[in-house]
Parts: sequence; structure tokens; C-alpha cells
Amino acid sequence: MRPSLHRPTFAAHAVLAAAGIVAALWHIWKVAPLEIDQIGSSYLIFFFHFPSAVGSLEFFFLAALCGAWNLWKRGRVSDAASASAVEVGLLAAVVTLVTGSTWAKAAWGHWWVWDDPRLLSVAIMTITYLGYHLLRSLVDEPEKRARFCSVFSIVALVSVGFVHYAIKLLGKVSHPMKPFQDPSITQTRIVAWLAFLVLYLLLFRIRFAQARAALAIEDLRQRAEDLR
Amino acid sequence: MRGFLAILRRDLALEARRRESLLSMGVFAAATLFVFRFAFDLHKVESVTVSPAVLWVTALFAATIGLSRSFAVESAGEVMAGLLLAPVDRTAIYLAKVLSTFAVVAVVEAAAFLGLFLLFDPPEVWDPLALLGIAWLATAGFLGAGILFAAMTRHARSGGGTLLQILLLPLSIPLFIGGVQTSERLIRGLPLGDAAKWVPMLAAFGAIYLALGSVLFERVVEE
Repeated sequence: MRPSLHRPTFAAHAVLAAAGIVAALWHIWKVAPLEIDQIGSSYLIFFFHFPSAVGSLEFFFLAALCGAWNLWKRGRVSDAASASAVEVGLLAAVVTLVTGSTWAKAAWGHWWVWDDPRLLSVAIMTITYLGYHLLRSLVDEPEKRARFCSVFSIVALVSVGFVHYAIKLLGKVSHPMKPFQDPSITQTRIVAWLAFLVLYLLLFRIRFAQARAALAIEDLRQRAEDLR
Repeated sequence: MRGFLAILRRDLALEARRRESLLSMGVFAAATLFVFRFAFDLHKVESVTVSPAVLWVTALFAATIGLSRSFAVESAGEVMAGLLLAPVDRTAIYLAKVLSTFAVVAVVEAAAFLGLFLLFDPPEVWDPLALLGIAWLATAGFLGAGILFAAMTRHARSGGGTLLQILLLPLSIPLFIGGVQTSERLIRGLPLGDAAKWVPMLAAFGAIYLALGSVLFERVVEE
């Protein structure tokens, strides 16, 4: 079987991701208004911030699904998929924090606003999933590592739920909840979300293919050991 | 149920005999309170402003010490393997571990409250029983996730003590925030008011962690 990164579908996926990003940039430039009341043009970063925030939640959810599958059916492939999803989710979460912090500086004058529930909860979620990587690296036995990481990916979903309910729980709304009623902004937001989703899925595919290749190499090494 | 009671009885009897967890947590809590007391000049900082945070940091870290010792008996020899071979439901093992650790942590928290009262001298109008109730509610959730992670991290390289804290502390921040918000008002002698919404939230987090732990513990301990 050809490695997944050399399949035509992968090339098509890469082209689609590039086209999606170009479409999103075109919408940001031509369709969405360049400035809106009170926060000016700094809001344009929202079209990178929002898709990444949603992307991180989606990929952490995917990681938990793969983790649950691993606990049910076993096997190393679902564990590799779960780990790849966490990595892409973490990347999206870091992009969310960086763009959010940049936007906070432009809009509120501070890089970090401690009493903003959304910012705080996304930071907690990011730190939680950083722990996932430490867990992976500190458990040597592959079977145990897969089980523990699967369990953790499910429990860590609580932090994703916390992001969703943070504003209700903490009750302080400094984050723009329904900021942009303009239909052109909604349209641009949807295009940007789809474009980033395709891009993050592409990154997931690359990482997953690498993880599967690593498993295949491990198998070959084991067979060579057995033959010796 | 018999298995649950047997494990609970064994853990509590061992703790009553050796008092290892109780002593290590108690000494740690006392040391933390003293360090905070020296760090804050109460002539410049209002006692009620810092007391909730001091209280929760002390309780949280002391409970982490309790957790890191929660599988100390099982780690020696083949005790865990023996326990798993016994006809006892895994959920019963998990719940017995949560309850036995909770019993010790609850005593240390009550002592830490007394220490806080003596060292930080908050206003006398506070409601210690309500405060203790909220602390125990948050502790139940904390230990719900903590016992699950402690069972995992004991297999990690170098014992996994640090790993346990790294995994557990971010997930306990919502409990910590809720604890600080509610206890601030109680220490000031005020009714809970808006902070009352945190009580069901603490209960909900506790229920989620305990439910996840009950379901997933079996997968963690299987050999």
C-alpha cells in the first residue's frame, strides 16, 4: 500500500486547503467591512481567532472519540489518531491564545485580561492538553501508554466543556459574544472556519501518517529482532 | 459492597496505624500556612483578601500529597495484582480509594482551617461549617479525578509524582475558582449571594469526575 501522503487524495486535500485559505483571505479583504464600531480594524484577527478556537475544540473532541475507540477496540492506530488529534488541537489552541492576546492588546490595551472567562478557560484547556504530551512521554510501555492517554483524552474533555460554559459560570462578559450582526461578517466567518477546518484536517492527516509510519518502522524493527 | 467496605477498612486501618499520609499532609499544610503568613504583611494586606487563596492553595497541594500516597500500599510487591485477582468490582476499588483518601484529606483540611484562623485572624463572623462543607465538596471532585490519575501515574518513569500534579492541577482550576469565590464571601461573613451559583457547579464537577473515574478506572488498572 502506498504511504498515505503519496496518495492523490492527499494532494487534492492540500490544494483544497490552499484554496480555502485564499478564499478566506479574499473574504476578509473584500467582503467583510475593514472597520467596525468601537474596535476598528483590529477585529479582522477574529477571522483567524474564531476558526482556531473552534478547531481546537473539534480536534480535542476527535481525540476523545479516538481515545474511546481505543479503550473499546484496542489497537495502536486509534491511539496514534488520538495523539495526532491532540497535537493539532494544541496547535489550534496556541493560535487561539496568540491571536486572542494580540486582539486584546489592540482592543483593550492589555495582552492578557484575567477576568475574561473565555481567555482564562482556553488557557486552562491548553495547559491541560500539554499534560497529555507529558503523560505520553513518561509512560514507556506502549500498551499502557495508549490506555492511559485514551483515558486522559476523555477526562480532559471536561476542560473543553469548561470553555463552552465559562461565560455562564463566571458571569463576566468582556469577550465579544455576538459581536458582529452584519451578514457579510457572518459569511466571512463561515468561510474562514471551513478553510481552517480543511487546513487543520490536512495537518492531522500529515501527523497521523507520520505516526502510522513510525508504528510500521517499529514493527519492522521488532521483526528484525525476532529473526536475529 | 463487601469488597468496597473491606478495601476502605484496610486503607483506614493502615492509615490509623501508620499515619503516614496524615502526617505528611498535615506537616505540609502547616508549613504552607506559615510560609504564606510570613509572605504577607497583614498590616498592608487585608486578611480576608488573601485568606481564601491561602486556604485553597494549602488544601489543594496537601490533597495532592495525599493522592501521591494513595496507591503506596498497592505499589509494594504484587498487592495490586492480588487485588485485581480478587472478585471485587473495579468501581468498588476506585470508590473505596476515593473515600479512604477523602477521609484523611478532610481531617487535614479541617486542621488547616483552624490554622488559618489562628495565623491569619480573619473576622470572627465567618461561617466555618459552611466553608468546610464547600471545601469537602470541591475535594470530592478533586479526588474523583485524582485517584484515577494517581493509578495511571504510578506507572510513569521516576514515580510520576510531578506528572500527577501536572495532569491534575489544570483540571482542578474550576474547582479552585469556585472554592475561592464562595469562601471569600463566607470568610467576610457575608451570605453567598451571587457566589451561590458555584455550589451546584462544584457538585456538578465532582459528579462528572466521580462518574468518569468509576467508568474508566477499570481500563486504567487492567494488567
